[in-house]
Amino acid sequence: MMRLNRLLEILVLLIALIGVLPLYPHLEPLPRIILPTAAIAGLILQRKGIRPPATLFTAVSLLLFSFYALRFGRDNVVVPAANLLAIFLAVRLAGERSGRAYLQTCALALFCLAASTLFSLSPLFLVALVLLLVLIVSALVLLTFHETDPLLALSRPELATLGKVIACSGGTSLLLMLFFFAILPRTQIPLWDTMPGQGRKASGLSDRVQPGSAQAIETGRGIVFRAAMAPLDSQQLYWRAVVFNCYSAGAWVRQPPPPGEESIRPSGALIRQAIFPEAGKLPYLPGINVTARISGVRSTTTGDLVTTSPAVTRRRSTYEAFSAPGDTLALRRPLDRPFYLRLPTNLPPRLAAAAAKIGRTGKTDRERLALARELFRSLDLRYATRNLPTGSNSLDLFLFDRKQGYCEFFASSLALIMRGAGVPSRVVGGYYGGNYNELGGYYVVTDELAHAWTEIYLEGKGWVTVDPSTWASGFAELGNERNRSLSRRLATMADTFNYYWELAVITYDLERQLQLVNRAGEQMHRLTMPKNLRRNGLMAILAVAAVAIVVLLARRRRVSPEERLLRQFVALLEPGGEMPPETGILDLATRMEDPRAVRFATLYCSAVYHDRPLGREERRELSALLKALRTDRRRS
Amino acid sequence: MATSGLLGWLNIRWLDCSVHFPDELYSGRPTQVAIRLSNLKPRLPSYLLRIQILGASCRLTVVNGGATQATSFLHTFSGRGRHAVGAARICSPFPVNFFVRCVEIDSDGEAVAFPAPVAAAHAPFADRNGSSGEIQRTERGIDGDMVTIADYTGTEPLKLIHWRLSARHEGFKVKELGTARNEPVIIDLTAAAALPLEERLSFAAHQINRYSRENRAVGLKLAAGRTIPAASGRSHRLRLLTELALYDATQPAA
Repeated sequence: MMRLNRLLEILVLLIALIGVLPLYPHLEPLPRIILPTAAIAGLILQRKGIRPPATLFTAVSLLLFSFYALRFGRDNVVVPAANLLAIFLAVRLAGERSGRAYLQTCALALFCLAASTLFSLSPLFLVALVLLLVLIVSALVLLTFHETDPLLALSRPELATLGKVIACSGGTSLLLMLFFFAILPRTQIPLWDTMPGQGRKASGLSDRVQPGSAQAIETGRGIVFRAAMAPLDSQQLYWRAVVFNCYSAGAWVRQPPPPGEESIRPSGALIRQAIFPEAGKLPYLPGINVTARISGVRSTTTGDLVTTSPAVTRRRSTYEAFSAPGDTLALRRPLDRPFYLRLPTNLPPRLAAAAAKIGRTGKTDRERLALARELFRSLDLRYATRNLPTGSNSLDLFLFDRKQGYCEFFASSLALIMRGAGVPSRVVGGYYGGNYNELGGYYVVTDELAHAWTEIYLEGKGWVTVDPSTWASGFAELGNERNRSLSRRLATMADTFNYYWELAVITYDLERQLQLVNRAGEQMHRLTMPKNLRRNGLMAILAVAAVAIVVLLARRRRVSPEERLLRQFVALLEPGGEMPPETGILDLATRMEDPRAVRFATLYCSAVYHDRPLGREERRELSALLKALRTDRRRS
Repeated sequence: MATSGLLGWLNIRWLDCSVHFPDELYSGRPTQVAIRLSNLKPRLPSYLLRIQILGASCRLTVVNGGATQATSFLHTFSGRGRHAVGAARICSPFPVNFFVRCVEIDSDGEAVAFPAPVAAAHAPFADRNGSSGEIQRTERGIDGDMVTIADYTGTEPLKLIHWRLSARHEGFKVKELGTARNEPVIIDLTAAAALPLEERLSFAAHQINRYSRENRAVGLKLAAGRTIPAASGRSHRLRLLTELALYDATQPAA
């Protein structure tokens, strides 16, 4: 027999643990310490039978409530509230063990889990929610028993049956939860806007390109976006996000493109990308170069085909980009050349000299670009992210002394040289590459794939994408190395779950609900009755009847272990295993004239004729005796 | 909530309740009443069932699917006669104690409470006891009057041999005696008509039980022309007590 209050105590402790675990990393040190201490103290006090006065816990709760209440503010709601919840849970864990207290602990654990979503909404939440749902249902059922009789105990079979009932109930609840998740109305814009990413600093792609600001660059491996699409050639994976069209104070920045500039959007066969950006990153919406259009989110696209959306920074959303992979962007009207040739007066001297030389030597823009490529190649530059030149003269140092840098150095230098040579140019920021997840059919683009390249305007052609980083040694290897690493591939595989979580849960909003309803309506509309319905229906009924008969026969033929053993024993003497009339098992055993047969009969009778099933050991011994008897019979 | 509602609904459905009483129960005396609750669901057990019946309440923690569980409680019937049990109300807070659901099941039970036996200070029916009539005795004993003379068969006690008579005959003769203890009694309910009816019935119940303990045949005269002949045995005693329990007050006493 098992006492239910003991079981309940363990269950409630487990519920508290699962509820608080996702919130724990976001708590302040005080509740982080108090929580485990209170849980352990509660267990010790319970073991020793000590009951601290309830007023003590009330006083502690009030004190801590006052402490956190003073910290509440218009901009500081979530953190004090989450810490308070954790503190209350700790107080409950240390306090009395009653039905009421257990119920409060369950509720607080659930609130703690809910509070964790104000900090991060990861798939871990779903796991914790499912676990908590099943455990809380179990605890509520046990609490009902506990309320009826606090000293109630159930036998193991009774507990097992109760467990099955609870499991069925939990399973049904999960299915219902799934159903209600799909149909319950939701808002298009979150009411409580504390989704992850707010206030997070952008890493990787930034809103300015400023080579020489650091000796080394460190970009995280945080996911910037996922793009569901068919795999592309790696050379075409240029995710164009932003255009930096003005060089000022040692950095490329973005200014509104000249009025009247309008790019010709590519047409024809376009590649569709369903992009799931992480919230909190830059407001630019990247797409494969060259992006024809972006849909699915409120956005603004400028003449240089840079698309921005404030919604992306505010919440997780999804959008669709349609692109024609290529390297040319034609313009509808003549280019505002002076705007794209604007240069500061204090250009690095050697760079300015090289640009002037190219400008003089090359007769056309195309030739000047070829000369610039020659220059880069002749300089034997290397792609590196450490030991970078710094300071106001960093580009000069990069090109002529250190001869190593990363994409921003290459793109800035080329764009400046081209402008110096009289060729309109600009720096483009975006991402290059991506880890393709075969399982989910999408690219994962991380911060470290942030990249900068240039667009050079060639008369008669338009803006041509030129990536000077590819002229450096070590650039191609870098990409290969990234993709080849085992941990990276494993991480990409593991990301599948995150992707589907985002796809199915996070970005599931009113719009998706309406889509679902529309699709269901359309399918209902298209639903036609099959022509030979009567024949098919009859076949289906016959099939169901046949399955039912087979199941019934199988159930009827199902024999107990005792019966099976008896049949095998009888089969040693009587073919067919049928006991002859007016003969008992002991008679048969005597006829065999074998002490093992007598032992078999005695053991069998001692259990079955006393209305009890055979034990495991007994069954094992009987099987061994049967085996030995059968072997002897075969030999003889 | 939907799942718990469904489980709670199923928990108290397909149950059958029967009430069982001892065959001898008296008005005003605590009696053990047994309840048998059957779960007619083939697999699903029913949990935490509180059965309310006859103003009492008892609990069954688990009744497995297809099984029957029994419980009991003490109940005192006030007043003799037939007592209908009425419907049993079965309630359960299962599964989560948010709501207590109840269902009423007709138990089809009926109890007959005998009058509470009360010993009388004086014999209330004595004046009519054996005052008239003839009794054909069939029982033989060793302490009653001599009934007849018979031949000695070899099994009779020696003290029963009638020596004087035997001397006149060729074989031994033995005296056959009647038994003094089996003198039958008819309790005449109409005899003490001055007493209130319920008292008379209580005295009669006590007398019936006493004579039965003494192994004496006892009968009952309920009204003029309606007499239950004297007999012994448990079933006869219960028949007499049932007659007392169901004795109609409006019936003419004499």
